[in-house]
Amino acid sequence: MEPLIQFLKVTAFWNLSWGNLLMDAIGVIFIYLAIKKHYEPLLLIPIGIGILMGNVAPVTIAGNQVFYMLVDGEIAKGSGQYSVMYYLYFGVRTGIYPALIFLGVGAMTDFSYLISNPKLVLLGAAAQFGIFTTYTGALALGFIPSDAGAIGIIGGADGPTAIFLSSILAPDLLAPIAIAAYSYMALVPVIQPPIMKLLTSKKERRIRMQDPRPVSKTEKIIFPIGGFLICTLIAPGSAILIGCFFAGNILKESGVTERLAQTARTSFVDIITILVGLSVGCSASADTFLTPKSLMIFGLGACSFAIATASGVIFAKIMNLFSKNKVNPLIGAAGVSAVPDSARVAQMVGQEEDHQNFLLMHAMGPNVAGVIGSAMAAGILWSILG
Amino acid sequence: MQLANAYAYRYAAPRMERVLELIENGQAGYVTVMGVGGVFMALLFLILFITVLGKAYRFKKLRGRSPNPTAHNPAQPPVEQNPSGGETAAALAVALALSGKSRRTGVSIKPGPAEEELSPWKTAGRLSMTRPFAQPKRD
Repeated sequence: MEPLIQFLKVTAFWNLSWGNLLMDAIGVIFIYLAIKKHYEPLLLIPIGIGILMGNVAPVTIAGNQVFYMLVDGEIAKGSGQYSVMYYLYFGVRTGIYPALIFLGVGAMTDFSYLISNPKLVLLGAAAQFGIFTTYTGALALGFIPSDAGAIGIIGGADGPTAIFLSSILAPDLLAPIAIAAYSYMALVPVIQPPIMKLLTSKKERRIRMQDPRPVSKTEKIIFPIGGFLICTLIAPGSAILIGCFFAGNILKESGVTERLAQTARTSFVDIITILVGLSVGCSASADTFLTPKSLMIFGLGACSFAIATASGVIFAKIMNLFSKNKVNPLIGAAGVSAVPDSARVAQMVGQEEDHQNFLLMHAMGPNVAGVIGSAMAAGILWSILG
Repeated sequence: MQLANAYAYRYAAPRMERVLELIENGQAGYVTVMGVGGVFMALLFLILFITVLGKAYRFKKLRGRSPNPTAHNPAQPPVEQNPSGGETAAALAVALALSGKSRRTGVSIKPGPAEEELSPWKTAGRLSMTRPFAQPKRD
């Protein structure tokens, strides 16, 4: 019997808890949703695998812990050094990865839709109501202001921004906030359509919008420079995210750095996405994740997301009261910055009513404005609560 | 009903008190007003900037379509109205020869781009120059 116990002690079974098993199940669900339902597979697969890795119980061989996934905190006992995941998590903890992801996203983004119809920028601003309403809700539930600010940013539906802000304001809650943000981003096609349909009539969903005007190359080059100056003068806290976002875009639009833009929007952003996914997943170990606070964060995140969607749609309806050229209110939901999923959802819901109505290009305007808006909101929350 | 009352007494009431307290303190309101106001202000400035940019572009385009062609086009050298017969014949001969050649081979001849005179700054930035293993161009 003794040799069997000795053998069990060198396996992970000895220290495995029910919490670890539950987290493993969550990791498997993430992988299932990514493969079977195609919900943000680029994010959910690395996160799901990370959750599995982060919930392997510490293995002890000859009294030394040889494989310990603690990503944040003390040195792994016995080994005398931090684990690999600790070093990978450094990019999350210090806010390096979110800024680099923004660089890649900037190199993918086309601002033509935004420039051709500037009033749609307001829809990106309206969708940020979710962030601040949830902030109040989190305060009411007993979170301290800095934690409440980090939870509120889930409503921006922007994973990198959520990681960036929570790494500064609430490092202890980073794992549940990041996982909630990415989960709701993946669930955009499930969460948004019922809210959009509830708040709009069939007639409104059929509104066809004017074709956008052509945008010159000069405008596309000048916009990120001017946009950066305007945004950072008002919210200097957003300079890192906004700066990287517009820097990536200038690489794309300048026309002379195509090689850099190509790298930024492909291999570069893919590498960072893998690192973010794995390290955020690993940080969700049972003892840090399975707490009542995490459940509250998930609940608040869902409210935040729903309010953001609803406020975008309602604001579009208000705009229609004063505007000659009507806006299809469905594109208001694209003001949350889940690029390009929420724009795709607007197109999908619009086409259910009218097969010939193409809303995608119109929805990309508020969608991109939402990215700028949520980064601005993060900068403002950092300045006030940091 | 009793359960609902117990819940309201134990959970909902203290939380509502806390919300009211926060509203009274002005903490939640301050952050919300500053946050929403800041985002809206920045994006309104962005709209203004885009509108000005668009107007400037349209103005430039309109100027480009100016009705007076001499305003933007440099003076063209005067064209000789009555060229000599020899020159015309030579031009016709070349055109006929070229069209015949292209008919035979099935290849159309188009004028190639003029060799651009590049400054050392421009050539240094060329992609072919920055590739470490680029093959040198053979003449």
